[in-house]
Amino acid sequence: MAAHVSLFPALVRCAALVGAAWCVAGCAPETEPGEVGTLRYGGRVKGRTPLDLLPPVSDADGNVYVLNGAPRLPETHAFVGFAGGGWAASCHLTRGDDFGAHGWVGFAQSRQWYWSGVALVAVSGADGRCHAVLERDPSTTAELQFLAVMPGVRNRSDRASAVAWIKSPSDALPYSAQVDLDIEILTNVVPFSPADAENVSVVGVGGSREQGIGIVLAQYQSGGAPHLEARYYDADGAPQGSVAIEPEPLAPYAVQGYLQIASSGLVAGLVQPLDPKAPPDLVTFTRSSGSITSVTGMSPVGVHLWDGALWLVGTADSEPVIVPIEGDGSLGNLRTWGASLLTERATLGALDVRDDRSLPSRRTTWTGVKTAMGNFPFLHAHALTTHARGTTLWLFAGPTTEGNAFPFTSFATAPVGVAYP
Amino acid sequence: MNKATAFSTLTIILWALGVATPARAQDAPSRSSTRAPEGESASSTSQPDAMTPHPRAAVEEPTESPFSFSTPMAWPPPAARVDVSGYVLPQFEVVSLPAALPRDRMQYGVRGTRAGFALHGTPVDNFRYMVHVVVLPAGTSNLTILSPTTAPAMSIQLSTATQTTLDIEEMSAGYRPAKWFLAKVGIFRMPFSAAQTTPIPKQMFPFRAPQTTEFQSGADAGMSATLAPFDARLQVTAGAFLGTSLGFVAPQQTIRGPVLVAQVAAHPLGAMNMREGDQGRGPLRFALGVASMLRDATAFDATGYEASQFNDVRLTAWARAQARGAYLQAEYLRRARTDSLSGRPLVSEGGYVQASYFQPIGKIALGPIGRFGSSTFSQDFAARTFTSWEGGIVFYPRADDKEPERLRILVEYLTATVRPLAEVQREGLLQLQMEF
Repeated sequence: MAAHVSLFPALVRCAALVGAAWCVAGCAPETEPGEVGTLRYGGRVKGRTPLDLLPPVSDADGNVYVLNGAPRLPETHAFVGFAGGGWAASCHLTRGDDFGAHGWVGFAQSRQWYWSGVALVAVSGADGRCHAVLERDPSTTAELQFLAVMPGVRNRSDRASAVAWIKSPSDALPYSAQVDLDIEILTNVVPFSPADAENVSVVGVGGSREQGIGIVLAQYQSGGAPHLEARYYDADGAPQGSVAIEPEPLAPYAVQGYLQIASSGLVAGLVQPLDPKAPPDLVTFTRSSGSITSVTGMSPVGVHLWDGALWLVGTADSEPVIVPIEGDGSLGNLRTWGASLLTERATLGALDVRDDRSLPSRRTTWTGVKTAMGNFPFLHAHALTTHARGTTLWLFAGPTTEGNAFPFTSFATAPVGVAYP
Repeated sequence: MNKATAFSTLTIILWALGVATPARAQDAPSRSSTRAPEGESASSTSQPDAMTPHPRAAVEEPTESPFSFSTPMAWPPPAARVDVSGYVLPQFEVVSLPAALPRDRMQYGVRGTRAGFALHGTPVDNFRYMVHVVVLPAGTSNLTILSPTTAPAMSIQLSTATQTTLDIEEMSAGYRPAKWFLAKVGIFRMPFSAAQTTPIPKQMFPFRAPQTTEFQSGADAGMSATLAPFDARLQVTAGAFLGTSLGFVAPQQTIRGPVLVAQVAAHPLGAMNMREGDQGRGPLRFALGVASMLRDATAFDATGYEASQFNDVRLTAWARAQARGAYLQAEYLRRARTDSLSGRPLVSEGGYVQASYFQPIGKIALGPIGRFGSSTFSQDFAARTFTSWEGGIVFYPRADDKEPERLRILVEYLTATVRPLAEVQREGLLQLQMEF
């Protein structure tokens, strides 16, 4: 009994340890809006701010991916920041002279895929290498062009797959297909209909990994009449119907970024009219109807999806603003986007930057840091990625140096707290 | 200093205080022990326990206990310097994945077929050893199945030229100078999850609860000390391990930082053994336990310099109960990992409940078994929820044996789903277990 009594303090302390650990495990830290995490120096890209960069994305292992490019810029450069430190910058794949980087289309455990020009490119988070998926049709060896890749790679236990529109130069019409991204084959190939369609062009794409839906907004002519349709596909690439929208002539890939799909099923996106000087319009549709409307009171930049809801972001009176897109497609009240302003303020002054472009990593200091993309943080045609709960990834621009022919600007990525009001 | 770091610092301080406090051993209890029912630790009372329906006669304390996987560290220890125990587990499976590739929609295999060999003994007074190796023949794991986690299950393995795998379940030395104290060092499962520490031949089901693999899997290298006062009605264990079994190591990274483990378990009506079942049809017993794992470590990159620091905390709370052949076990687990680089916490949680019943019918016995579990992996990014239902019946050809589960035939049906992709797996399994 005396021995047991003497053990009591140790037992109590052990129980206190267990209790304290319970508190820690139950309280994973949450990032406050505008709170900027560790800045990682990723590399340098051509030009001055605002740079031709897309919002960074990440995979399940925590590797970070940055894409330097734009739809009208037929040059693409992908950077990979490894979860364990270090960067790779050896991926420059794109195909075609007319269009460049459309965007990231999905992730797997340690991979990402992007669509640039008419190429679908796989990027490895293990070593930073990349390769073009299905450059040629295995049966005919004809070149395969990816006219549309619906974002939202599906990761099943046995394979990763995406849905795309593909076409070879000799095909009059495209085909929809499921692309097996592991063994790189096409299945569920379905020809475009109607068979007499002409001048088929892709206006924009959208997709949702969680809902298992892909959408292509396409225009074509059939029977002498123009058509503008949103075509739905399930995760296996099977057509799931379409909805017609009042047609107006639009340029290929006129949708800014991707179409976004709310949890309610409403789809929205910004579409650039044929006049490049005109402000973008808002296209919204459901499975039953759709329309294109103009946006007033702000300069729209993009449609974002966050926590299942749709938001229109842009600027007004030299401030970042945000507007909810209601369930019927109408716009709610415009308000200043506080999280964007908080992030801008957080980057004032001298900032510590971790330079792990090559290992071992070093520390450097940047001053005059500003958002690498857009006029304010988070303002981009592409929606923000969910890096963690309440946290996204963003790019910040550092020093600009004058090269022989072009200026080059350094960029760094960081996790940033974000909130949509 | 953020909240997580503050709590981590507090935890480490408490840990240091707890370990540093000397638990001075006084004279051992002078009351004589009674012979406990098979598979249970001895009670120190010489009078019948009012909560025990079968009065126990006071006898001289036995000088040794036969080895059993139910009580691998029973007191008093087995006298043999060298002894061998083991088991053979042939298993046959039919797996259906309706939405998989045509090749994988209907699969047949022998996943889980293995044999275990345990070399153990007491070469010197108060010192014991255990070498427990599991042999997994080549080709037994070639099935596509749903997994509760995308993190790989880690264990210490040796692969042979023929692709047969030798899984080191335990390789340890123990020092037990008194009934209430045990120190262990070597390779063995960390004292954490109830499901993950049950010896293989004493599991209720052919496989451990899948929801627990995200939180613990396989053996790890380290040391532990257990205090078991009040006839093991209270069991407190603390340990330090290398953490190699915890997984999630980025390629070419080296992790430096031990895993500290602490467990507190209460067995108010008498210590329960490690068997998942009440084949002894004994009196009411129940146990409650909590355990935590803490790792504050540094990851070094390929050049040998610091890449990041991380903090990994895992918790479990479990309950077990048995009475008259009925057995119930439930467990809840949670994990939170944060690091200084990624800005993404890794938070997972899960749990399960399982039950069985043992009904003798003459010289044989039958026993229904059932389990339900659910876990969500990586709640902050691409959350993945794994839910499973299992049910089966166990046939015991020799219910009159002192441990009827040493020979059993089990038939089980399992259905599992993974969300949000709504993958479904259905499975039928047949297992023969023979323990020697």
